[in-house]
Amino acid sequence: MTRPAAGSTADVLAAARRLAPELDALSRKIHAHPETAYLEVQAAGWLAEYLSAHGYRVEREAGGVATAFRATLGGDGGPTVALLAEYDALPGVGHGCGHNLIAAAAAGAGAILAAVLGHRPPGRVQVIGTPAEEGGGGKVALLDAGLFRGVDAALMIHPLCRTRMHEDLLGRQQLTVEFSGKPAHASAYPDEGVNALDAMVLHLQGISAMRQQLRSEARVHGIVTHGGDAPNVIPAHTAGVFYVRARDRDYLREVLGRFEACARGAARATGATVKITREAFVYEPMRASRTLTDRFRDHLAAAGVAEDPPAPRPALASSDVGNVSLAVPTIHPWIGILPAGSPDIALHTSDFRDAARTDHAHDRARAAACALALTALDVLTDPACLDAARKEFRLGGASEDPPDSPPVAAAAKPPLGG
Amino acid sequence: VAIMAEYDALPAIGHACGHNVIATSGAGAGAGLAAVAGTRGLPVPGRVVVIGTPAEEGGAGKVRLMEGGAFRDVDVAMMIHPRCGTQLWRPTLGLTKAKVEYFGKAAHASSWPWRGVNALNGVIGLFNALDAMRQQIRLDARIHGIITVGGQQANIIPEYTAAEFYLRSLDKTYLGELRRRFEAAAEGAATASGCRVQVTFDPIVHDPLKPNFTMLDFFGKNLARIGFPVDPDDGQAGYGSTDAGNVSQALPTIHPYIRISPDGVPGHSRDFAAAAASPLARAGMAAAAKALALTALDLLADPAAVEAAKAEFARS
Repeated sequence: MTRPAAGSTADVLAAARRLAPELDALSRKIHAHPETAYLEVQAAGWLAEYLSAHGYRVEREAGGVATAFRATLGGDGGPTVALLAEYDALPGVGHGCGHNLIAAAAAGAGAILAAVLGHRPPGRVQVIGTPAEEGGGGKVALLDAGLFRGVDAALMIHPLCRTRMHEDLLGRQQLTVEFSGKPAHASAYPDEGVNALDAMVLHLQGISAMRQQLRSEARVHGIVTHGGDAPNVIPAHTAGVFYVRARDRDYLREVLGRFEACARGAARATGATVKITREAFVYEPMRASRTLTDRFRDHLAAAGVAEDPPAPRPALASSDVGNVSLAVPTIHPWIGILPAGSPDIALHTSDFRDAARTDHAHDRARAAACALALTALDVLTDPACLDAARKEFRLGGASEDPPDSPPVAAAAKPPLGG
Repeated sequence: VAIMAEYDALPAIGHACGHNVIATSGAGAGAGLAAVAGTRGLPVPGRVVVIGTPAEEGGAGKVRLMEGGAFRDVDVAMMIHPRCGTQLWRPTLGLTKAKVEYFGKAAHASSWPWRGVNALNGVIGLFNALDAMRQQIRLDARIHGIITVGGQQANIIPEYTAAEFYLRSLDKTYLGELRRRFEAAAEGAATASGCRVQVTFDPIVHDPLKPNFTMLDFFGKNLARIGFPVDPDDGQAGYGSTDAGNVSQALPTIHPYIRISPDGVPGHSRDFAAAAASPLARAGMAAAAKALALTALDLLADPAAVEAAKAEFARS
């Protein structure tokens, strides 16, 4: 790979060292003030101010989304590379998904690029503040608003226990299921009621029974948001929110059909009526750019972080970056933030939240910022790299397995006979 | 006058319904009347028939006998049933039997489970739905069943399952509603599990018992005459069903209960099977035989009494 005089690996690493104190402070500030989906007013503001101070032209409320922003360096001509920053927290757990590190890595890469490229970059660098990854589909809203039009490649990282360039991100549909029955005094006239809670319980039992007949990487899970009004009233109305996930769009559609059959069957069995509302958007399965991921891996190694061995079992999540990956060549590598030898911690826990504010995690975020900046430089300055990424993208990516192939972990050892 | 004798046992638990006592009290009444008749015939006009009615436990033997004309010339019918207390009148529930079959798709349960459609999930879903439904059905109604085919082998996603159910209620109209809701539950479980379902209702419906207090009055007086006490009904137990219900909807019929066990011994239990061969059962059997025979004589001696029983039957 060619490396221009301006923006050598050494320059990037040196810039990152200089910027480290302010980046760490920014990350810790976001971590200490967790804001949930679409309410990330402070985080978006701090990041916008930071990038503005480093020479970026900042548009607040980008795409009409109040807590989104777009910071741009450079003008017309040359490729456009987008660095995606997430910064929303989880209800209750705070930054249990470590999005403060995503924000710091993206803003850090932006600041590094401003430092090494000066005022005449060979293309355009954008840091896009993408709110509400946790269920809100912020990137879907920004895609719909046209924010990714003209973007040639989108780069982001996500913290995890270990460093892995690829983990499947499942397609995901959120649904609301509401059952309506007929209220009745639960002691005096129970036989005159139609129990909407029975319908909800049967729906959950139906899903539990169905799970055996799902491919092992598919996921169906949910919560009951309304379970009745009073114990002495046969519940007339219940509601729940569910996620259905699968590794490819066809199977997602199939599982959604079966999920809805569970709900309709529960309604039929109890005499209740059911209303199923699919959220307007789907989190698409991730189709990572192998070309750009390979570049990122090399740059991360140059920044001192090697990829860890493959996971014994896949950690399956979903993200709205899947939708971006269907629009432009995209990478979403996972950066390990736990020290070697320490036990793994699940995402979305208070333990992971605590791990996301350690010095070690911030060292890793800085290495990730370097690798993002170097990969962005490849996109901007190495036509062969962008051509390869575009060609791969046109061919439909290569990260999806053929239908019905057993998941990787299961394939490693044959099923027990008999 | 027909005296009905039942004598079928239950699978696995033997004579836990005490039908041996029904048989011997019926036959005993017949033999007693024959002794009275001697060679010159009964002292009253008319005829006594003892009808052996098999398969009360689920087989609806009396319905087949009625269809075969066995009750064609019968004016009134009587039998007793053993119980943990003597009561002249207790209702019985109308009963419909259903068979439910789920059809899925077999697959290796470990290597290809997602290619299967689990017929056992259908039947479990139905049981879950019925358990939930029970809160919303009338107190007198009953729905209960067993799984007769639960799969073929544990490493195969079951492609075929079957279950049998009884649906019961005090009145036939509500039995119809239960049937509709049962069918909905079965279909809902099929929808949820992706199976095909077939629900087959037995064409024979056990009718609820229709009382005939004119005849019960005679039976009660005869129990008093022989000094056998009638017990208060503590109202704690629910009701069963009987094919005598169908007979009672066709002609004046009585089906009083005779004590053969201490209080509170449930029917269809091993304790009740033991009670049915105890001295208490022998006393009940003898008293019942006498009361049945005396009631037959009362009715034959008094055509007006039979007319009154028929008039009550027509009214109710």
